[in-house]
Amino acid sequence: MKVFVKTLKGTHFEIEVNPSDTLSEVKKNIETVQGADVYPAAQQMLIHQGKVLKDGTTLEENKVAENSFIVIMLSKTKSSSGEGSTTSTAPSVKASATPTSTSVSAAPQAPASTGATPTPVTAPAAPASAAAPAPISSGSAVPESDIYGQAASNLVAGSNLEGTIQQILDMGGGSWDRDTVVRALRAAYNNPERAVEYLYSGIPEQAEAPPVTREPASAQPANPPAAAPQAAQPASVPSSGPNANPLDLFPQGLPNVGSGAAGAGSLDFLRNSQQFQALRAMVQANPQILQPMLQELGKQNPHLMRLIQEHQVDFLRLINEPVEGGEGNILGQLASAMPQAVTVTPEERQAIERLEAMGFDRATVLEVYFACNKNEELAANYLLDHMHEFDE
Amino acid sequence: MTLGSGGSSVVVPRNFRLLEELERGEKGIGDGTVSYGMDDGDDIYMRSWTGTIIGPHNTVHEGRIYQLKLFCDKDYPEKPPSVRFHSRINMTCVNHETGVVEPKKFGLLANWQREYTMEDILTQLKKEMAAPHNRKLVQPPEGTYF
Repeated sequence: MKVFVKTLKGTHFEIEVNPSDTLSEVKKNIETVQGADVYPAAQQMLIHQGKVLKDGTTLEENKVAENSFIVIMLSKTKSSSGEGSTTSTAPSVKASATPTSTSVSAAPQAPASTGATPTPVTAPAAPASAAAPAPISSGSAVPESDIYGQAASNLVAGSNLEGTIQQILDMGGGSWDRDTVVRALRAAYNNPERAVEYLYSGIPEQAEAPPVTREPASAQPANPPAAAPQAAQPASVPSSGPNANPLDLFPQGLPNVGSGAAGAGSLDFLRNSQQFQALRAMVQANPQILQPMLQELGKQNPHLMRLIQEHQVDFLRLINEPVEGGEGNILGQLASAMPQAVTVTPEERQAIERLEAMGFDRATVLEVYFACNKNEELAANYLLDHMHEFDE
Repeated sequence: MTLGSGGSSVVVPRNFRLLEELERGEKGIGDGTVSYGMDDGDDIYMRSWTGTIIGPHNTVHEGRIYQLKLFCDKDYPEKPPSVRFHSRINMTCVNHETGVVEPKKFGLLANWQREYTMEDILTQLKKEMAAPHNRKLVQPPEGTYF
């Protein structure tokens, strides 16, 4: 018999099946027809008339008849870190009521050992000058070359953009028009998550300024070889989408230059900024991170962002200049971001796991647990009392 | 659902109305992110229904499948069905202990009209998941149930 399989992309295809086929066989069938790279059987979830179809059952048992529609979706692959992450983004904790909150990253969960050897948990070192805790980072290791690729993973472009616009329009159920969605996406530098936020809360005027565009390739000096080898980059990736744990770009270190200081060299003060030099090295190694970083800068230092927009040519010239001081310089600048180890005893690890089992993601649990001086009861109360405050 | 004809209107009986909804559910609704069907095929009164909602994009619900139970009593569609999440979810209009969608906190049930359908309920719940007050709430672990 013929059955239609509807995808979440809005398309559908048909498969030939028998009523006695089990769901496992149907999934294999789909994998064969559509390709294992598109619909791997292990990740398929099939839904029919409000029921999630179980592998052991047959189509007949699930009342799937000729010309029935089945919806297919892919379940998320389980991360190797084994963390019971409950949200797609790690919420940051507003630890106002707690003492100094220590930021700890979620390390891959070690198998329970009988020995009393403490399990190390990596924690990013907070720079001495920083008053705020360092961002939570997830310990699921990513190939080093992909670290900054991840940072831009939520940004859409090209053919994906059209699909994203359509998805957002569907999500609004007709309450937004296409033009508004496009404006929101532009304001959010093509980050769909932030665009949706803008649509609900209003598009900030300042954000609607056109994004920084690169000069034509002919006018651009050739990118010098990357000053920082990939190995120098920290091996932990922020656990949430891009910019959720912002890099503190140019915090207080920059002079408050007025826009009156226009002219060819109005951005030259950046050349002496250590933060800018580090940023430049990263951008030259991975050009795709420039846009998310500028987006973050727009939030942290709108004045500087306005200046960059007014002097795009100067900014591009500066960003493409060869990095002074070579590798040693950038290695020194990135050293503060390297993870350090914090040890926990087996009892503490069990307490952390119990808190996780309550439905909170590992990064949040670790931060709250350490902020509460490893008092499990206090941490549990805090997590439950503030669960609505955990923000993306 | 009323059929107007020269001033007079015909009220579609409960069973006909539910058969219409069943047929629509079988054909597959919209983009497939919500679906529903009968829970108990032997129930001649067609009271127990089951539904699924696939969590909307760019929210904490993305990539999750939520299963629900809908119960259309004998006064449906004059009165709304009772709706209960089977999959655990943290949402402002859902009772944290029972999974019941609380009518007072969910506009569609609070202001129920007989033209509304189970599809409308599921679609509106999906929109509610994407609303600012729900889209970032910390969620219970996937695969847990009320």
